[in-house]
Amino acid sequence: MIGSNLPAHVILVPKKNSGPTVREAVKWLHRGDVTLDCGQIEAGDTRAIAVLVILQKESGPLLGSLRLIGVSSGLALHLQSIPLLEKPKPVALNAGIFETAGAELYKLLHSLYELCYLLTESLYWSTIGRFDPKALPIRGTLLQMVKLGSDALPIVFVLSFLIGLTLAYQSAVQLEPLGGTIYLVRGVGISMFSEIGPLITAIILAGRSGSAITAEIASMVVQEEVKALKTMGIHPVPYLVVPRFQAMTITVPLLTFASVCAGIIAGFVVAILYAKMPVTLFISELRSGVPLRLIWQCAVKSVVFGWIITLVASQKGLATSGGADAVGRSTTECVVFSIAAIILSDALFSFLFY
Amino acid sequence: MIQNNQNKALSEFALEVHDLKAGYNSRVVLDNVAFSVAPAEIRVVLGVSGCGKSTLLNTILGLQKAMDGEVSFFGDMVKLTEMQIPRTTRERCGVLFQNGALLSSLTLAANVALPLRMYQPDLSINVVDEIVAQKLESVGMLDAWYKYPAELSGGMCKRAGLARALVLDPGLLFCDEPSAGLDPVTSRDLDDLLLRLREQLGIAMLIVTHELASIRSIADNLLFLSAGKVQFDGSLAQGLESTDPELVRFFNRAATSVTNANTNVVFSIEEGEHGNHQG
Repeated sequence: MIGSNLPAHVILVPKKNSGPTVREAVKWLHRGDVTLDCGQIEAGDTRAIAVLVILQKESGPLLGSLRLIGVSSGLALHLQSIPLLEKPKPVALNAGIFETAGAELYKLLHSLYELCYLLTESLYWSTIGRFDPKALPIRGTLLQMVKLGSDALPIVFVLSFLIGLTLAYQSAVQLEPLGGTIYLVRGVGISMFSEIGPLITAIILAGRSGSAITAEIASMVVQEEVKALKTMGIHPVPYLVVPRFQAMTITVPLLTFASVCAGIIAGFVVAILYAKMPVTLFISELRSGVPLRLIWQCAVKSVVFGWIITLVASQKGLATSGGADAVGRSTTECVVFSIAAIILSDALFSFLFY
Repeated sequence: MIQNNQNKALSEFALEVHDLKAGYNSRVVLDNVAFSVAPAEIRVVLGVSGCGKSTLLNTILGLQKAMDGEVSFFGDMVKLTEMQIPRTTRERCGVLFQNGALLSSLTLAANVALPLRMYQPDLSINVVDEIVAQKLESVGMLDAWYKYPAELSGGMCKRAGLARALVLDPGLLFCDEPSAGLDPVTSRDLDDLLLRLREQLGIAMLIVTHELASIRSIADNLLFLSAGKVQFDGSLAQGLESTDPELVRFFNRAATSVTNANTNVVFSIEEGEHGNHQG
């Protein structure tokens, strides 16, 4: 080999470096033999050794051959024990379109099944189950009412007030040239009770309390706390879901009512200050404009929205598996899924009620 | 509890596992696993990572559905395919999880009191407090009464988890890697604690671990799992003398890789030429 006439190109392999050397050496390998000067490489220099391995794999019968010079004794010893490795192939998940669609559909149906299970369990433990000696004390529910409900009051109130203000002001501006500012009272009253109050409360709570429920339960699942509960014979549904279910059932209608009140107060402010309406007229208009039926519908809606938030949040939390990333994923899914479900059920209510 | 065990003349074992088969989807992780734990016996389940130790524990505890198999706790048969372990049986089994698995929203005392509140809601606060104090003292954690789990170190969480596992006076204790992630001193203290509990209370234990020092000091009998099968079932002394190649390898930590079928990269190295003055 040493005496061969072919011009062998000599490349210095730099210490702890790779990119350009590989490209250059491969280029020369296409033309003939290549000599690599390994004078700078130390025995444990993995980056440089990787270059040698790659080039050794590249060189072969079709291309030129590779020679190493200036190899220190330590490096030579090391080079003798470098295994020829193949990068493992990724496990191909070549699921067809039908298989993927089926799996997704199954996942959706399974989560609906779990939602129904959670609903029946929660209803049982909130009604007949309360007399069961195994039922948990009411303290947990009270604690959750504070955490999920009353703590959300300021934000619900402020946002509803601002939305009511905008709504009333816009209607007043539009109605003024027609001389119909009096209609803004029933406009605000009806829209707050029938749509905006329940919807805005539910959406704020889905983002605030729903995500809190999912994150809390999901991190308990991830940290094996739920497993520990099960081994203690404590069923996670009555222990974790039912107090939150009860708390939301009570607090969501109350918060919705607060939201409606905030909207109407905003309407009142606009009516008095902008439209110069007498207070007595505002009150009598509101009483004649908003039927009692609407208030009941508002209450029913808000309870259903509260259930959707709690059950979706709990289901997503309990179905979490994996690590910290799974907690984030579940929380996102909870918020997206519950807001979608709230708006969908609101549309259904519209058909049902009107 | 110990009296209870003796009253149950039906079975001389605290735990018996028959024909356990478990896995995920279609992948079988454990196949035909059978063993028993006598009262006051410390049985250590060992094996390299991924051999199915955690799956074994999860299926026995009914946290994961088995494909087949039965387990009997103090003579009460439970089908593992149904994941329905009765409350009365649960009450007699304490579980110590790898990180203690304390509920992070409760103080240490409330965590330890939780099983008591669930199983005996009629107990008065004073009695519960006294029991909790006794149990916390037995693991040396009485001072941390009002602390939350997040304020404790890993070893402390584990000891508190042990106090919670013991609060119902179980006859059988399951431990998942009790010494994992602990320094040698804390780990030895925990082992001593487990031995003392066995001595004083006659608790049978099923311990999953791969800490050699721990195995040597606490194990009565070993269950060595390999690729989902029972490779060895016998006493510690037999295990240490066994000539089974896998067991020998496990205990000696010799020969890092026996089945190294890789061929090496062959370089053509030219000796005696140095430097880059050739070009």
